Amino acid sequence: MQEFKYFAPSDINQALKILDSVKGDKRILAGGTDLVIAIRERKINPEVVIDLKNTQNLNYIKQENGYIKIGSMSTFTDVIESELIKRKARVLHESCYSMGSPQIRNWATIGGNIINASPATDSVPALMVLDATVKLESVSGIREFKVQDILKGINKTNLNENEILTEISFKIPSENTVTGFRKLGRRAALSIARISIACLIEVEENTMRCRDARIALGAVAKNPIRATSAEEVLIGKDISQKLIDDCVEVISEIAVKNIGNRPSLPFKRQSIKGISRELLNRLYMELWSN
Amino acid sequence: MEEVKISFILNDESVSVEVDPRKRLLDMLREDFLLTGVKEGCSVGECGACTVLIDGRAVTSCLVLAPQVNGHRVTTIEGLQKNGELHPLQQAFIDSGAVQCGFCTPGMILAAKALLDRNPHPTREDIKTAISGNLCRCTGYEKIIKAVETAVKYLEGKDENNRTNDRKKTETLKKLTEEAISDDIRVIGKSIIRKDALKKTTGEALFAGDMRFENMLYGKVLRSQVPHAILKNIDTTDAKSLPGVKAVLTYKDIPGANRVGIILKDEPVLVDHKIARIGDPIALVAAETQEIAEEALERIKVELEELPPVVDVKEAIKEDSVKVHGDTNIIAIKNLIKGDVEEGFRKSDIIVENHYKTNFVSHMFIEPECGIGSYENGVITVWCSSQNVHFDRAEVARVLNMPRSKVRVIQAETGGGFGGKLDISTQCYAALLAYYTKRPVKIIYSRVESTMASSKRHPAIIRCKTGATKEGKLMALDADMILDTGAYASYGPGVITRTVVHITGPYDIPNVKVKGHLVYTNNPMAGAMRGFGVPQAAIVHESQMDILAKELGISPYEIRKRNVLKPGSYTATNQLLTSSVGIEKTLDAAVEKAKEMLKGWEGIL
Amino acid sequence: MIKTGIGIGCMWYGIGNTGLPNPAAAFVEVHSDCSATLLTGCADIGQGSNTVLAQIVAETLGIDFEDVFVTSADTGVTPEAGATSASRQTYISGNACKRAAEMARQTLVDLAADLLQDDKDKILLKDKMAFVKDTDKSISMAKLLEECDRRGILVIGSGSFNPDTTYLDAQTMAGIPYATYAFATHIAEVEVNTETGEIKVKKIIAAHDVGKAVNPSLIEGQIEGGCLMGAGYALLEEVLLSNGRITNPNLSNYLLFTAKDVPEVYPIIVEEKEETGPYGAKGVGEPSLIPTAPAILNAIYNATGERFTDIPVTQERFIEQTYYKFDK
Repeated sequence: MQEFKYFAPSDINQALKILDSVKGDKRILAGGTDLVIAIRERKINPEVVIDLKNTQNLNYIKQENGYIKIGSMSTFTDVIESELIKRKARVLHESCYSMGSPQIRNWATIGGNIINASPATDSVPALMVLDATVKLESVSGIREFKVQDILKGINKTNLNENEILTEISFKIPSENTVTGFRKLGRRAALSIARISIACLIEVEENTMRCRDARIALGAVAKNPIRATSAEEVLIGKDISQKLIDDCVEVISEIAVKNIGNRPSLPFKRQSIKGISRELLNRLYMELWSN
Repeated sequence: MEEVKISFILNDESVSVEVDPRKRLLDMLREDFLLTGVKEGCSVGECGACTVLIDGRAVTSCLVLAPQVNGHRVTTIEGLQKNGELHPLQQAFIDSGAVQCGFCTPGMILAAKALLDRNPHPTREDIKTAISGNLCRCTGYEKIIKAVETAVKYLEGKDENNRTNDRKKTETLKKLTEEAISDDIRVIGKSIIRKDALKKTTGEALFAGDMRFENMLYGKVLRSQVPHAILKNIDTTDAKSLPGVKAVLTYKDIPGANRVGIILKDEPVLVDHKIARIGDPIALVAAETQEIAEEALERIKVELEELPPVVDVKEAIKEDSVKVHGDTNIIAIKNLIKGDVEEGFRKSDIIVENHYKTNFVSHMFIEPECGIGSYENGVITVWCSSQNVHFDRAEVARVLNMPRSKVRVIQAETGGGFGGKLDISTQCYAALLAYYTKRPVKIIYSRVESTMASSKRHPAIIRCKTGATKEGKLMALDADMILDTGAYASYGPGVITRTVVHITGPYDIPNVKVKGHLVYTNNPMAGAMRGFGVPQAAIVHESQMDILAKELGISPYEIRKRNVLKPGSYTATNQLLTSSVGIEKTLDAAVEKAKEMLKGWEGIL
Repeated sequence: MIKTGIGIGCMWYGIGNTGLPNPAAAFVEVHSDCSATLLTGCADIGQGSNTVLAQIVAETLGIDFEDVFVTSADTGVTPEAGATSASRQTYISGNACKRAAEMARQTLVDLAADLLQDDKDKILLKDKMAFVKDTDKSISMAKLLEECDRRGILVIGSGSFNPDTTYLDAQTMAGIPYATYAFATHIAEVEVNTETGEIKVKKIIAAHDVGKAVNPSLIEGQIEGGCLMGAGYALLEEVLLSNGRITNPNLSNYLLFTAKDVPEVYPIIVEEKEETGPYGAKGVGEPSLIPTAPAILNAIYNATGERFTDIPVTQERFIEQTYYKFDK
């Protein structure tokens, strides 16, 4: 393993200064559950490692002006154990809970998971349906993007060399909203998504009329995608079994288009219907009982 | 490398160290603090054997850089005992029979502790979730889950005798004729706590990787990255010149035989001519540190002439195929003949014929192979993870050209085997390096190296034709099979024999004809794995039974009941069975239990 | 749609190497404090042979299990025991240990007969005492061993055992490949999600004829572990190869079932005593895995009407066979 300079800045300003001033291949160590392996297997050979594990004020989950704000160094466990998120953004709770093992969830961070830009990320589809914004900070200022807009392919983002993702935020969904996540893994735990779906449905008060719907699919493209044409099937209509069936067919078509001619296509074309139907039916039942 | 000064709480004591920031927490704990209860099983955070607690949370220490714990509280299995008393979880693991090989045990206990510290009254689902990041290959988790439930009771102060309750689940069907002397039986039949349970729950059990010797070197193996090639030249000059390197060995340095193998001696200790698979060993290095040894491997220059590989077993049996060794890829053809199979089919009313296919499977014992060699006073000693030290001794003696009496092989605690630690792994390498350096040498495989080098379960392609009368009596079975043993025979000749002999299943079939081929390819080596060819056979005979039953319009239970072996039956090898033939009893007992426990049991009756 | 089904799998398994000699030996020494040392070449790889063999020695000598100290698998001190494979160690090393213990016991029996003035055949050793059957005559083992010290008698034994097999006929493979067989039946209940291909094994009933259960808890451990490994064989585990290279060599891509995948396992121990086994015992290590996969395959058929003849039945394989079989 090649030598690297190691920094453990105590606050974010110090971190940004170091990041801006040091030269060479520099890496931010968030949880490190992917980075440490990559360094050991020499897939990357950083000259500088900036460890944020002990950097203050990056680990919080709070409610502010109708928004939920999550510090990027919050671990998956922090997110899962947040009552606020469990109540207001169940989709994020479920997706984070389905990631990895307890050990990984205890150490991996939500910010790291986004920046890693894996096709099979569990957190991003959930954040996409919550229409989440990420905050990128550097010595020269702050930039904000929708979470999907910083993802530029497998393990690729549009972050500048001197930027750190510091916060994820999203507007708290209204009371007439249901959300959820379902992934298909090879086993009941410790599994990477073969395909996944996150969904948010908002209805007009005391009706089943869909005011807004957001659907995101994981592991069907280089980064998770929004399934807008499937959302359109639902928006403005009364949610029904029939409508869900139509929506599921559209989701499958979107998946097929994105997967392209890969060996996994026949399997994913079919199985995405299974997980979509299950999730949408579950949300439908929830709407009924609300 | 610039070291980083860190301070943290380790097992309730404040410690300060200067540490290379590249070091993982796992390595720091094992090497600098000698806390070898922290195990390394996969290096990628998947197996959970390296689990420690950081601020009370379970974390895989292979994914944490040492300086990241600065200012935090770290707990390892060694920190669980208080004032010499076991933690209730440790006691519960012992009492519940939750310990087998013990390699996953420390991590498992810590993951459970992280749960119970936060949630003293977990549900069964909570427990499963809490330990879902800890893989166990031995227990099937059942007794581990039970151990955590038991620990909950211990922590509540309920000191009930768990072990007697535990027994209720298993029913022992006593033979009615059980001897009158059963009153005199004291120890047999009792669920006595295993001898090694205690040290495996405290982290004190020493696996080979946990052993340290003064002046110890580290060994590494250079392995082929191509499946089929002729070795033209090896240049070790550059590797030898690296400071800290104490030996670089090639086949030329082997004092004795350069072939090992359980049944056939076809596997080179170090390749001298032909590379037959990816992972074939080409050279050995011993150096002062693992890192230097790794660097030395990169400095060895190997010239190869690549050959086209044969990786499809159906290709490999063709006469004009690429040959792995010698002039045929067929190692063994086994023919079993009982009765007259044609006549048997003529007497059958229903005949079904199907093709079956199974894959390579990996043992994935949680402890990768490790061995340490030493050479003192003319005696080679090897401590290793192994299933057969006497075989290991014979092979080391042949390779070093020493009498067996001067070779001692000692089994270290072995973290699972399942057949995969029957072949020679590190033993000859550690011995050779110790022989040349006169210093103890430890070789520890990474998970990936372990998977590459160890044997696999044989993939099988099996055709099977089975005939029965309309009354459901089996009359004839005709099968042929091809087993891919990969680059070397290993236990393959034994496996094919066993598959052929067992293909009838536990049924009385008067006419049987089976042909089995064992074939070399340039695939990974296949050898012994739990079941030894019989799992492949069982998939075939049990599927055939259900398919026949459907054709005959009788139930899966009925067709078995009408054909099971009994005392007085003859097996496929014409062996007369006289006693201890319990198949019918297991069938009836299982069906009785199914009626009680399973939904839809009518479907098999 | 979720469909459930159940299936049976039966198996037989010959104990020991096939049609070959495969002996094992053991040494026993009884010390004057009633403890004993057992030296066996048998490697305990977690299955618990050190415990089982100590139980056999303790039973044979009539002493406490805790007082039997085992040294195993060290060629410097232990005799050959062959491989820990073929589910052979309880049967073969078990017999070797029993014979070694019997030889040591004979020394004690002879001395007891001498001191108690009775027939050797009537001497029983148990609870660290020597009894004369059908009388009230007895002597403590401590006394016997004290007398051994006085007379200069060492209480030692060696034993070996080779199962009674024959080589198989070169033309027909007829012969006696194994001295004894283990038998088992598993019944599995599965739940199949026909849309996603997810298959969950809910319950497994596992009935095993082990001859005699020397240690039921250890047998349960073998059965429970075998069932999960067998479920993996049926549904999950496969080494993926690309031109001879394993493309999934780590535990992140070669997947094993986790604690959350565990079915409920109901072990049933059937004891059809094997006359040639130590106290009637045979073996269970490998048999525990063998019937699981076929039981699961038959259960999938029972649930869905789909017969799978290629394993593992991964989600892909299930979906492809179920939805696309006519495309092929």
